[in-house]
Amino acid sequence: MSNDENLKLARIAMAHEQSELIAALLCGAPSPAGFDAERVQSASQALVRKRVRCMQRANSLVQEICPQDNYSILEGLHQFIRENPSVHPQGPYEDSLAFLSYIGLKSAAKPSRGLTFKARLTGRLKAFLPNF
Amino acid sequence: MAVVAVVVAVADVVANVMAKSMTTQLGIGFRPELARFIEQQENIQFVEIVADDFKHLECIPQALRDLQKRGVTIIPHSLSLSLGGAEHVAAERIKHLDGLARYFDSPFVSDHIAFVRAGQIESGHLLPVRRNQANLAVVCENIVAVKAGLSVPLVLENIACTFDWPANEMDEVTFISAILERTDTRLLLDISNLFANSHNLNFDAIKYLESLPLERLEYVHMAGGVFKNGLYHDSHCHSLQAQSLQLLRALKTICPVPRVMLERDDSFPSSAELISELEAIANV
Repeated sequence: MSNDENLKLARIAMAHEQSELIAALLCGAPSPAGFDAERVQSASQALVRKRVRCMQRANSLVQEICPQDNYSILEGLHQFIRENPSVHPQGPYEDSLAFLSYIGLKSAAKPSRGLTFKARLTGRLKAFLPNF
Repeated sequence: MAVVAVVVAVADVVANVMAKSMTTQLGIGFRPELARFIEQQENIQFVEIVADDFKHLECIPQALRDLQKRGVTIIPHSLSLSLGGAEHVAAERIKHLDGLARYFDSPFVSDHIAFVRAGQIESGHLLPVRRNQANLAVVCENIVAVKAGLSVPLVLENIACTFDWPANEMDEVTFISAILERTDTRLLLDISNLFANSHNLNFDAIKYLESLPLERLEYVHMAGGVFKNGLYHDSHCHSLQAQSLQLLRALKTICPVPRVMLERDDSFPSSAELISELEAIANV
């Protein structure tokens, strides 16, 4: 078998094993065979926390409506992450806009007025979370 | 006599250049929240920017342009090439990184030995590659392709992990060393990542340092982290740990360190604390 063919096969195997790991880390799939499942689960939780921090840092509106110490509000963000396991390919700011859109704000990218907008966002989030 | 004077003068210049080349430059990761702080620090000789944060050259803040005018070296650092991934690296990602290097006249750019996406999912995180011969060949092919598209050298960084792949064929330092040698690439050694992995995956960090091809060392990252449930998390939003400073000290007894920098990504502390951390890494 040529070197090129070996590399192609290696890429196929690599894609498969890496997809399995990402599914376990981000999509709630079981840990692939041989991994320390407890460590993978811990890493999975750390990735959610990191994604929340990145969105909050990239977009102050997310920080304002989902403060780090308000767990009932943060649940909305966590639900978004569970349903959208892939981080936005353009980065955390676009990820935050996708979240704002997810909770029902169509014009998330272009806020009109600071406090009014924040109040509107918080209202949307409360509507989105029936038990809030 | 005139000839002797010239020889002495030339020898002095050479000695000065050599002494300068042996000193360690101090740097910091540029973050918008730190722009004002960095502007006030006259001892900062280089800053690293997250290339992914500057999608267009028009997005580059004046603060960075001012630093460049002041003579501060600017190093584009990518998080998204996914050099350890199964997909070929997209040409536009290479072009973007190279565009930043050209704009800032950077001496090199950097990214990680890691993958960040698979199966159409972006993880938003640097994930470890299973260390076997087949994957080593793929990673090297990716790196060679990226280097071919860059006008400046590529420098490669080790990542932090809290878990490892089963059935690895080699340890981390062997894998990284093989990549650097096969692709003739220089090293960005993240000392705090090394500490994290030595703690979480239970290996000897000093032996790791001694096994690296340190003649390839280009610069060093230092960052804070936190212990949680027995694991060390390289958070970049906690204080620098004494263990990282000890490892930096050990590294400096083995080889010269051309550049060392502090990374802080969130929970930004007071200026006094940042200055204290910068002084700590500068004075090692």
